[in-house]
Amino acid sequence: MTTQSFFYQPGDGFLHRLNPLTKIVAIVPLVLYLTLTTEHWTPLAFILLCFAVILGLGRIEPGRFFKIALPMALLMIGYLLIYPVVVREELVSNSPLLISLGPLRIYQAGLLFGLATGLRIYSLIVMTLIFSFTTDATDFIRALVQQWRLPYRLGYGAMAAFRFVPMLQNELHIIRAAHRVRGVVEDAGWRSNFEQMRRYAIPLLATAIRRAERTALAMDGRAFGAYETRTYYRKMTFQRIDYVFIVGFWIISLLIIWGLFVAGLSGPLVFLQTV
Amino acid sequence: MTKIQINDLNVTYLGRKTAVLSGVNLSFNPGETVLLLGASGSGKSTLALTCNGLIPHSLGTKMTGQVLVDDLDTQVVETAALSQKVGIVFQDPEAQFVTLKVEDEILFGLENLKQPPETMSAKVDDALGQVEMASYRLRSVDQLSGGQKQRIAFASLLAMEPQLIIFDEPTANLDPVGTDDVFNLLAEIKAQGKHTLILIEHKLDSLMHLIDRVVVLGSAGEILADGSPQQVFFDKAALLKSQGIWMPEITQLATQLQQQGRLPAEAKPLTIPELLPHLESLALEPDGAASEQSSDENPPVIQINGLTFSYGETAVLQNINLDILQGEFLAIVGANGAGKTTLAQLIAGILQPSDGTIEINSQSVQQIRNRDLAKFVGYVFQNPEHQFITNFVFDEVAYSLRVAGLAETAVSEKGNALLEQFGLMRYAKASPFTLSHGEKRRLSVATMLAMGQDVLILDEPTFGQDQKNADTIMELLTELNQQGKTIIMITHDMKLVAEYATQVVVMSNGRKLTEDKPSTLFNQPDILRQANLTPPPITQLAQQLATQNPNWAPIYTLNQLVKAFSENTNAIGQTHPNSKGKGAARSS
Amino acid sequence: MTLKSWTTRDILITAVIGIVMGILSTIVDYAYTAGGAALGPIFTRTLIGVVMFTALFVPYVVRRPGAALIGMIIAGLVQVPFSPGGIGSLVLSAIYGLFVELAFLITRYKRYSLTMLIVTACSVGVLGMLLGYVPNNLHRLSIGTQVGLFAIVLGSCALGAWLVVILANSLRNSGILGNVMPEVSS
Ligand SMILES: Nc1ncnc2c1ncn2[C@@H]1O[C@H](COP(=O)(O)OP(=O)(O)OP(=O)(O)O)[C@@H](O)[C@H]1O
Ligand SMILES: Nc1ncnc2c1ncn2[C@@H]1O[C@H](COP(=O)(O)OP(=O)(O)OP(=O)(O)O)[C@@H](O)[C@H]1O
Ligand SMILES: [Mg+2]
Ligand SMILES: [Mg+2]
Repeated sequence: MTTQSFFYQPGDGFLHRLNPLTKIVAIVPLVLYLTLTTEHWTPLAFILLCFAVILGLGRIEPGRFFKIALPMALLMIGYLLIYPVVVREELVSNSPLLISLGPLRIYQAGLLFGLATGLRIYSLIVMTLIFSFTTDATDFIRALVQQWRLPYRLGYGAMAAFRFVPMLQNELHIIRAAHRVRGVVEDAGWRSNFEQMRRYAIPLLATAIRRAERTALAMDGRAFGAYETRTYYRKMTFQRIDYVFIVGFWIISLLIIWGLFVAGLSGPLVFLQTV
Repeated sequence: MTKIQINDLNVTYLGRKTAVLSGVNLSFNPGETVLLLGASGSGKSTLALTCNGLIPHSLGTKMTGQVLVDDLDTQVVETAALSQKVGIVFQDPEAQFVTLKVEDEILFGLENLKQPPETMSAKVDDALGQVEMASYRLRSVDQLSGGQKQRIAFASLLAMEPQLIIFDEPTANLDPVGTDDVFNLLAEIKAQGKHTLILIEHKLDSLMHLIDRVVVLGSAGEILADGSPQQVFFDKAALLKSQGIWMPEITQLATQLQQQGRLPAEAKPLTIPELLPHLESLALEPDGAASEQSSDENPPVIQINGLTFSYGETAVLQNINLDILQGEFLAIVGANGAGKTTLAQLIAGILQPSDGTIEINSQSVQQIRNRDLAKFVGYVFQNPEHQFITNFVFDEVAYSLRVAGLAETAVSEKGNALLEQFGLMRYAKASPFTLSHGEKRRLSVATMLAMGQDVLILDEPTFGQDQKNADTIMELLTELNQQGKTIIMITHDMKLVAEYATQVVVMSNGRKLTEDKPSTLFNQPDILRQANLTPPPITQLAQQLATQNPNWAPIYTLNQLVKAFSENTNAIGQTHPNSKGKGAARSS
Repeated sequence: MTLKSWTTRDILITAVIGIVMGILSTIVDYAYTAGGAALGPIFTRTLIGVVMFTALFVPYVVRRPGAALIGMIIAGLVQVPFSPGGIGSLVLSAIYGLFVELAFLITRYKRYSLTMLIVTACSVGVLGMLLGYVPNNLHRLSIGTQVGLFAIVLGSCALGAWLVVILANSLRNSGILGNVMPEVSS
């Protein structure tokens, strides 16, 4: 196990060369817009746009990408299955009735409603993958600290703590084995789940806290936190390509929104919608 | 060069009743290389932390007295200033890193000191150059070996240009190769002559030629001894021993030889080259019957055939064949990552083989249910805390007894007996986590024995223990071995192998390199080299003597040597190699 | 935020407790996920208790101003490379941390009873759900479902708060936290 994260794919694609904050600035307005949409075409269009951006500009290997991105689409299926059943009936009852099983009535509009909600949530996730797949978390923290004034002690504290995650996962693995060797049997069921959690928590925290103390000493020993500010060897700034990306991404997004509007495919936004 | 003056220092951790350091008066002079010794918990690390102001600035303690670094009072001066005078390399290479890349790690300190970015690149190169790792600048820290990590930790301090550097057990987590790597680095730094060095270490023999002075802390946090290595290791040897403090094997041997009148009292050898001439002059008669009693009559308890194991696609163990005999004391040795722990965990049923078979008493491990397997094989993990599952010491033992199927009345009786045997009775109602290192380790062995297994596996049983604790544990294991239990011990400590093991398996890159008696193994330089091992100091000494007098050849532990001398005035040849209770089970 | 009074050790210990709680929660999650995945969106509501568990554990143990907020910011930062939501989860945890911090601020960092934790968890949980109401289209679900969702959130949050108290107290008895955080009382 390494400290490298699960989602970040190191590489030198266009997206990798951007300032981490650029990607956030670029996607935030669209995340907000997508939250407000009510039909399924807009999310669908943006899901495709994001796929194209990640695979094209990020140069992520498609197999690797879809192995992670597709399972997340399962979440969408949950919405598709559940929402048509639990939607307020008066909102959809003016559309064709598809299924009627006793009290269970599923309308076409209900199904579209589930689809729209599911796609919308999925589009939000895929949008953030533009960031997750192409951004080194330590660079992100550096940028937050240098450009957006995150207190550097928090930022670098978190950076040091990244290393703890795989270490502690491994530790949990060992502790489980150690308990099994003592004849402990892991049963299912949530009572015993909680009991196990308590049993694992103590040794896990003991190791973790001691490790944290040692790391903190090693950091302080190298003058961490000695001054209000610190200098940076690598200065994080916005370059020309950062502006190009932001503006370009926004223009393409506007074109998509306009295109859907012209084609009559976009619906009212949430606050314009009659409930 | 930096000097440190400590006056009347007292340190008490918050929430503790007794002081860790009391009335310490001490000075570290420019250019010295000082070895700091003391039993586990005596306050060595605490003293180190006071030297660069981490105590009191970073750790909650009550501190009185004064620590002056180049006349700057650490309680007054900022940590930033102190970090440019005193640096500490800690025990755990992992826990010292903040970032993921070598370069960033070295920049970290410079950035904290607000140095101008333009000057940094040159300093990074310079620091890496000093530890001979210049080509690693852009590497990820995770891809380095343990010894290399310590070099980087050291370089990250060097960049800040401190002139006094403290090493707090820098090799504790390393295999013999990594250890040598660090010791070589120390020698290089000392040769540069620009730094004052303070070392806290257990592995003393290979360090002695570097040490100018030894300071010993007592268990009450006072200074027990302070002087040249000769003064401390010879004149105060009895005191150190009674405190359970590690001493070099060579000086222990020399002291005993002096007591036997074989070495003049004024000779105070610290290293093999210094002791050699004295021993060469001792006449030795030809070797008589130096054969070890080998009785392969005992049946195998564990039989491993064609065992292969991989994590995902990476093969970790390949085609291991091994028979472990009833009553054997088996050591498994090899470099970091050779697959020792993996092999042991497969035997204990914690991991499942990818291929091949493991049989215990002719029954396949996979077919034995987990809970039942726990009754055959006990496994003591490296960190005893991992195995604690209840809130009280007594309950720990009781839990095992219940798993073993004992009735409630028997549980309390047997439980108390076990705690008594392991000297833990007075902690029966304490939380296992509040015990000391040594006590935790004893408790974890006790909980395993409670189930009455025939086979006990221990992963680095003496890790982080002082001499006294280590001896206690090893004596306990020897006793169990004599009662007929099979002991399997993973260790990096060749002294333990030499003294206690009856059989040793050498692992290298996931393969079994060889299996042999320790004495035979230590005489196979090419195998040792291949597995990155080094023989223990006494063995090295004997080997060097054996080039001139073959009678030395069968000697490989301190006890054998001393015993040989005391039994036989001049002949070393008639040594009985199984001196310290070892091999008893086999020969019976 | 009173970051000045926080030592590096405090920051790292807070981070690490957050991580451990996160890792442990996955064990509990796991049991649910198997059966719960099919329930989709409604199931995700039950997870709010896990979030509240992490958000409350740190301030309950560390007991000083800023603990909840700092704890959740660090927990969020640490999640960035390990969760698909990345930045999304960072923003969410910071918001939850802020809410919980406010609850402790209102009681002036004096009350750490089970009731206080349950009330905090439930109010913050409901608030969180309200924020996500429109994006999740919850307002268009049938009234019965909406009431049910509130019940699930309240139950899950109360459970999370209760687990915090039990686990933290049992840890304290083991003496581990005692050494680390001597200022913890009761
Ligand atoms: N942060 C702390 N809080 C409370 N007690 C502590 C702390 N650190 C160390 N101690 C205690 O102070 C004593 C001295 O510890 P220290 O680590 O200095 O010993 P040491 O000589 O380095 O031991 P070892 O050889 O085991 O490393 C021990 O009893 C230890 O339990
Ligand atoms: N959970 C794991 N996943 C993947 N690889 C692993 C895992 N655990 C161990 N390994 C790898 O298996 C190999 C053997 O590891 P093992 O722990 O058995 O070595 P070891 O001989 O005990 O080393 P050490 O002396 O450092 O304890 C190593 O290369 C290690 O990186
Ligand atoms: Mg120490
Ligand atoms: Mg190992």
